[in-house]
Amino acid sequence: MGKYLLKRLGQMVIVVFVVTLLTFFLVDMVPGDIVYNAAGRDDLTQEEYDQIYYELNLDKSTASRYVIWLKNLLSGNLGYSYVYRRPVWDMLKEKIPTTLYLSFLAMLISVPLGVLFGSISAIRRKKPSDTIITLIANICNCLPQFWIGIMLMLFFSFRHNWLPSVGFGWPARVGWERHIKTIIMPVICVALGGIAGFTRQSRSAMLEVIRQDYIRTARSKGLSNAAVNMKHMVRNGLIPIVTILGSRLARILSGSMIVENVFSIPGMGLMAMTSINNKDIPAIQAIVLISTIVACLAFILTDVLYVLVDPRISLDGSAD
Amino acid sequence: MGLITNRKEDKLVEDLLNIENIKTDFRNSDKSEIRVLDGVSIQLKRGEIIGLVGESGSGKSMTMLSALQLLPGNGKVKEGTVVLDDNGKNLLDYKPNSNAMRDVRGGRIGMIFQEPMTSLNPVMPVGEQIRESISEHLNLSKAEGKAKAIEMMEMVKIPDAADRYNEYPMQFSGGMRQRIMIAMVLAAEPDVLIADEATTALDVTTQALLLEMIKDLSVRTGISVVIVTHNLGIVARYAERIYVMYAGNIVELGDAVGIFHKPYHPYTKSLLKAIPRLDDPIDRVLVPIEGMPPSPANRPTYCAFYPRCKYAEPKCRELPKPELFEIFPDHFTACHLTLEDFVTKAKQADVSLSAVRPPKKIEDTVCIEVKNVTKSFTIYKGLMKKKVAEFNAIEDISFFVRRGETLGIVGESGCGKTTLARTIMRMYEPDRGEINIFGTDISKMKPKELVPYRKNMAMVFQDPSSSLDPRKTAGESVAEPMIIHKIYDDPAEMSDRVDELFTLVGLDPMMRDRFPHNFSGGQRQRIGVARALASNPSILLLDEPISALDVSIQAQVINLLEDLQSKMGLAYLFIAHDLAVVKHISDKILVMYLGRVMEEASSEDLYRDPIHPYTQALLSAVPIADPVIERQRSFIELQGEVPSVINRAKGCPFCNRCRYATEQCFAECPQATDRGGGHMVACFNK
Repeated sequence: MGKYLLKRLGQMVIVVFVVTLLTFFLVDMVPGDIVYNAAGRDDLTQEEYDQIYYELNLDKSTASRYVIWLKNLLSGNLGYSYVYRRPVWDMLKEKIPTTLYLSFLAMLISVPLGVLFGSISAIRRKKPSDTIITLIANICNCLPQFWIGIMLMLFFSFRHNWLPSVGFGWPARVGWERHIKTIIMPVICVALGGIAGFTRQSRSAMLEVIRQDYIRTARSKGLSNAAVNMKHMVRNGLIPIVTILGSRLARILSGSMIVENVFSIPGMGLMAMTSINNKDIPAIQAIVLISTIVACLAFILTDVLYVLVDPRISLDGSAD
Repeated sequence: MGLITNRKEDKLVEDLLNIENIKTDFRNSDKSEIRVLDGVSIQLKRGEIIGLVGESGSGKSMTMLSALQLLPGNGKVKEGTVVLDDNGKNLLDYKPNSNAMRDVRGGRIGMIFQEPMTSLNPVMPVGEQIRESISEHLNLSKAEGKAKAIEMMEMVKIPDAADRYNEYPMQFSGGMRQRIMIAMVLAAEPDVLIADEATTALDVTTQALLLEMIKDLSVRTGISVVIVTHNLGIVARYAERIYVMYAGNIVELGDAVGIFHKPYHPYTKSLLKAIPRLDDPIDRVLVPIEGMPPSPANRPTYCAFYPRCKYAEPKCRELPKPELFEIFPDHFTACHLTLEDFVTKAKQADVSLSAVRPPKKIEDTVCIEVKNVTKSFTIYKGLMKKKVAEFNAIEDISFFVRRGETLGIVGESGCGKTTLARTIMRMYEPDRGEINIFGTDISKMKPKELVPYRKNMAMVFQDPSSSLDPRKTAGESVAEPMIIHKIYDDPAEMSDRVDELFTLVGLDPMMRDRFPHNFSGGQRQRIGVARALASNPSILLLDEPISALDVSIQAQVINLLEDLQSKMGLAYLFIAHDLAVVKHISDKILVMYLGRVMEEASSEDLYRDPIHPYTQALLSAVPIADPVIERQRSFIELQGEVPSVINRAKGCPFCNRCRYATEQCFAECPQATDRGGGHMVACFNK
C-alpha cells in the first residue's frame, strides 16, 4: 500500500508538471501587452514601462521565464497578483477552504442520495417509481448549474425572501443560522448534478449486480429483501461507484467554482473569474495549479477507497 | 459432527416434499406469455436421493426455482401446489418474501447452484456467508454461529477452516467454493438439498469427490437430495429414483435401474443410445436424436417429442399431449404408445439402429509427429516487468498421429491441453522439441514460412457461438481460409466449394447467407467444422469441440466427425475433458497431468487396464450411465486438488496426490516406458 501510494504520488508530480507547462504557455499566448496588465493602468512612462518589463523578465525567452516561474513555484512563491498587489498565495489560502468546503458538502450529499435513488430505481425496475427517478435524474443531469442557481435565487430569495441570495460567511463570523441559510442554495445547486450522476451510475451498477448469481444465492438462503439488498446488492454495486468518485469530485469542484459566481461566494471560482477578467496572470496560473493538485489527490483517494470496498483488489499489483 | 443431528434412524418412507402439477409462465418483453413448465410433479421422500435429468431448456432448474419461489421477475407460477411435510399447506400460497416462505427457503430446502465462481458474494468473507445462513434460520448467538460455520467448513473438508473463515471467495478454487456453498446450505440444517448442476463446471475428479460427499452426508444425516443435471452418468451413480424431463414436462420416472435398463419413453431410450459410455465396445455407433428440442414458444399441443421421435405414430400427432401413466409398478411414462405398440416398434427401430461401426482405416503415413515439445511461460510483474517466475506449461510431450487416426488428449483443467494445441498450431513457439508435419519440422519456422503448412492444419474451437465472427455470414466464415490461402482464383468456384462444404457437414447451403446467431449451437459447430475443412487440411485439432453442446446434439457432431474422418482420411487431435467421449472417438489416448504425459495407450487398453495411478483415479471418477455397473465400481479418492502448474512438484507432477508415491517420486520425474504394445506409462511404481 505504501509503495503504491508513493508510485501514485510520483505520477501525480508528472501530471502537475505537465499542467504547469500548459498553463504557463497558454497564458503566455494571451494577446495584449501584459506590462499594462501588471501595471494596472495605461498611462505608463517609458521608464515605468521598462522597469515592469524587466521585472517580468519579458526580455528573456519564454522558456527561461518558465524556468524562473517554476523555480519560484518550488520555493513556494506563486507570484504576485497584478491586480491586488499581494502574494497570490495569501489571497488563495483564504479562498481554497471555501471552495473545498462547498465541494465536499455537495459530494457528501450527492453520494448517499444518488446511491439511494439509484438503488430504489434498480430494485423497482420498470415500475413507475423507476421511470420518475430516471426521468428526473436525466433532466437534472443536463440542466446547467448556473441556471439552476438563478432559478433557485429567483424563487427563494426574490419572490419569497426565504433565503439570502448572496453573502457567504463562515459560522465563526456570521453565526450558524446565517451560515446555513447562505449555503443551502449553492450546495443544492452543486449537488444536484452530482445526485443525478450518481443516481444514473448506481442504477446501472445495481442492475448489473441484481442479475448476478450470488444475489440468487442470497435469496435461496432465505434472506429478507432488505438483507439481500443491503448486504449483497449495495455493497457490490458500490464498487463501480467508487471508481467514478474521483472524476465526479473534479466535476463538482469545477461546478462549485461556477456556482460561486452566481451566489457571490468568495472562493476560488469567484477569484478565477475576476482574475480572468483582469488578465491577472499569476492568479490564473495558481488557481489552475491548485485545482489540478486537488483533482489528482481525489483520484488517489478513489484508488485507496477502492481497496477498502473490493477485497479482490490489492494495490501492490498482485490483484487476482 | 456435533450440531448436526443424526436423523438417519428416523428415516421413514414418508413424503417430504410434494410438488404437484406446476405450471410456470414467462412473460416476454411484448407482454406475451410463454409456458415453460407444463404441469410438473415431483415427489421426494425423506432421506432419498432423486435425479432430475434433461437437456438445457427442458425446465429442470425452473421446476426447482418455481417450488422455492425464486423465479426471476418475469416468471410466474400459474398453477400447482408445493407441500412440505404432508401438512396440507401449499407453499405457493405464501408471498415470495414472506417469513413463512423464507423459513422454508434456505431453512428447510437448500439449493446449490451451477457456477461456483459466481455464486458466492465476492466482497464478503466466506465464513460470514455461511454464518448468515445460520443466523437466518437457527437461533444461535453470533459467536455460536461462527463456531458452527467453522464446524461446517471442516465438515466439507476445507483445510484450516478456522483460519480461512475470513478469506474471500477469490482465494478459493472452484471445487473449494462449491464446498463452501454446500457448507452454507447445510449449515441451516435443511431437510432437502437441491444440487442444480452443482458439479457441472468442475473437473471430473473434483466432481466425483463432491458428489460422494453429498451422498455420504445424505446417508449420515438423512437429508433428501435432488440432483438436477444433464449428466446421465451422475444420476446413474447416485440417484435412487429418476425423473426425465423434456420440453417442460416429466416424460418418464422410475427407479434408477428401471430407467436405464427398461426405459419406455422414446426420449429416454434415444438419449441412452446417443451418449457414449466409458464401457462401450469399440465399434459402438452413437445414434443421435435428430433435430432440436422445441423452444418454449413453439411447443406443439401434441407430444413435444413427436418431431424427433423414431417410434412416432400418426395418432401421436392427433392426440393431445400424453399424460404420465404407470406402465409398470412405480414406473411412469408419458407416451401414447401402448406397451405392445412399443415392443413391436422398438424391434423394428432397434434393427435399423444396431449398426456396427466398420473398422477404421488407419494408414501408415504419419501426418504429425511431436517430439519432446516443451513450452514455458514467464510471469512478469511490476512496472519494470521484472521476471518473477518461469514454468513449463507443457513438458516433454511426444506423440504421432497417422492418416485416419484419432489421438485423444485428456486431462483436467490446467493440465496443458490447450497450450499443447496452440503450440502445435504454432500460435506459440515451443522452447524445445520438434513438430513434424509430414516430416518437416515447423517448430522454429518464421510466420511467413509457416503459411503453406497452416493450410494443412485446422482447428475447431470449443465455444461455437464466440468462435464465429458475428458480423460475417456463415458462408463468409467458411470461405475465409480459402481466401487467405488463395486456393481459388475464380469466385464462382469458391462459392461452389462453400456449398459443397455446407452439404458435407450436414447443413443446407441455402443457409450460407445467414449470420451465426440464426443458427443453433450444434449448427454453429458444424459451421466451425466446415470452416476448418475449407483449406483441405489433413490434420484437424479439435479443442473441446462438443463440450458446449447438449447431449442429444453431441452425438450428431461426433458422428459427423467420424464420418468425415473415414471419408477424407483426416488425422484428428481430439482434446476434451469428457473421458467417455474421448474414449469413444479416439484410437489412442494421451493422459496429461500438469503439463506432462502420464500415460499413453490405445483407447481399449487404457480403459481396460489403466496403469498410472492418476489414470486409474480419473477413470474411476467418471460415472457410467448404468446403475447396475455403477454399483460394482469403486471410486478412488484423490487427496487435495489439482495444484497450479506454477507450484508443480520437483519430481513426478502427481507425487503429492499419489497413493503409491515414494521418495524417488518426489526427487525425480519418471520417464514414460513401454509396458507392451505401445502402452506408455510414466511411473516408477506401477
